[in-house]
Amino acid sequence: MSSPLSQIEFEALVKRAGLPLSPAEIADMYSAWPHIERFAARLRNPARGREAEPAHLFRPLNAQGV
Amino acid sequence: MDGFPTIASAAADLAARRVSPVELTQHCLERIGRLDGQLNSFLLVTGERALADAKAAEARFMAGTQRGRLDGIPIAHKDIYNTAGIRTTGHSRLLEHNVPAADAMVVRKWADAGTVMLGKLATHEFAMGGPSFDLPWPPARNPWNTDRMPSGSSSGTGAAVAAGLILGGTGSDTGGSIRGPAAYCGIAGIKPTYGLCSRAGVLPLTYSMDHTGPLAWTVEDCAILLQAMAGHDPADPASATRAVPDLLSGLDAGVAGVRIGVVRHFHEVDNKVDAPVQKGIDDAVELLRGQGAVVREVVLPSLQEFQACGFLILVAEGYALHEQWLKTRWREYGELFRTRVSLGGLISGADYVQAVRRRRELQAAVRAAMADVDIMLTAGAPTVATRIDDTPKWSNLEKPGFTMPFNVTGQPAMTICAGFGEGGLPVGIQMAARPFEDGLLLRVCQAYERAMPWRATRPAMAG
Repeated sequence: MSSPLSQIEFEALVKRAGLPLSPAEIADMYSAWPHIERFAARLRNPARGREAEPAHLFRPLNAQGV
Repeated sequence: MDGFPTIASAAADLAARRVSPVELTQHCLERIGRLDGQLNSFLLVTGERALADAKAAEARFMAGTQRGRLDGIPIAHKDIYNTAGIRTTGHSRLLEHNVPAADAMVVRKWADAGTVMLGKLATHEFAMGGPSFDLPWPPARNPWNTDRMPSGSSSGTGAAVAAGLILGGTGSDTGGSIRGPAAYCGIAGIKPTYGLCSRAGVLPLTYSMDHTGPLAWTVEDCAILLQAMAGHDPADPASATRAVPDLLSGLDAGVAGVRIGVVRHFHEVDNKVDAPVQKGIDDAVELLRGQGAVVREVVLPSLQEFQACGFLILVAEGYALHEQWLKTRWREYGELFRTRVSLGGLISGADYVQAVRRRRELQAAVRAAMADVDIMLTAGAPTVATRIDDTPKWSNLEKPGFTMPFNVTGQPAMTICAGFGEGGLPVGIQMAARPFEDGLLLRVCQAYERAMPWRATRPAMAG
């Protein structure tokens, strides 16, 4: 399984995140990255309508904090 | 005293004055001292605290003021549960000397019920990423074969319960961390409905998928422990406000008329299980049908759908929690935790939102599939326990697990022992119910467990 992202491009993601990875750790995580891309693609297929809401719960709190 | 008391049997013995809380506690402490060198299930044994708790319980029994079935029962806590004045490490170098000022709510509830705290139990680092050999403490080992892992992350609890070092303990479950050890260690573990038990004071791995819950040798013991854990806690934003259900009075009501849906594609297609696990599922179907349950097949979205959704939420939230330390104290984490969770720092905000949108769809799909089914049945784990020194690092990405679906949906799910496979190692089956039907779930698992002989066998090393 390969990634459409080159290792250099992947290293840019790591750099942007600010993580102090060693070259071996970068290579190791890069080997796992295709799985993450597969997961992310699966979440977008099939495409959903704009109205499909996330599962987050949000309730305004009253003065008592409930 | 001899043998392997369960919580229910010990409570009966305590009530009848056949054993005292101090004797029961000394029995457990002796077993820990004799056996835990092979298991590493404890990070800290709190012997003095345990004996003080036991003496207090004994005084209540003498005065006739005992508090219920958990009074005088020896338990221990996964070392992500804050314990006031007692080290709570998350099995991590980063919190090696962390001493909380207050108990987690669940720790407090069990203490108020009269339990005797024996100590703090091994976990995968911050409840994710083991087994690791580069942490300040070794990983827990499986008492059925110490070359095997007990699964995780509630690894110490699983090992200690199976070996009879404790009568029950706390676990946490973000993607299967209660149910995995229950399967590999041949015990019972329930991930309750999201919101039923407080997470306050428990070191978080994620915000939206962490669940607290108990592990014990039997379903009945889990029900007793869960009854004392459950309840609204204003300190936990996810805590449900509904009244705590009675989990015990209907436990022996049987399964006549209960509609059970077997999610065959989970364990026969999406991630095909080994033959002993399949046999465990098939035998459970036959048994439950014979007891009057109505069994049919049910189809859910694939395990791969739940894996994609659950894993991205898990690593995104886990990374957000640990981001500051990952950037500044990277080398203090174990290698497995830091590299696994850091994948969450590389995904986009849109990836996370798509995962949370997908979560709502998956919840709706499961709800619809359960319109005429009360309980779902599938595997607890695909195999028996694997070698502790040969766990492929990214295996959790390659094959989807059986537990994640119910972290994504928040439904209660329980894994129980369903026999033994290769090398005499236990196999586990899993059942799940609708949200807040934890009592029905326990009832069905109890009916299965009581009809099967598996509770008569303990690991050989446990003597």
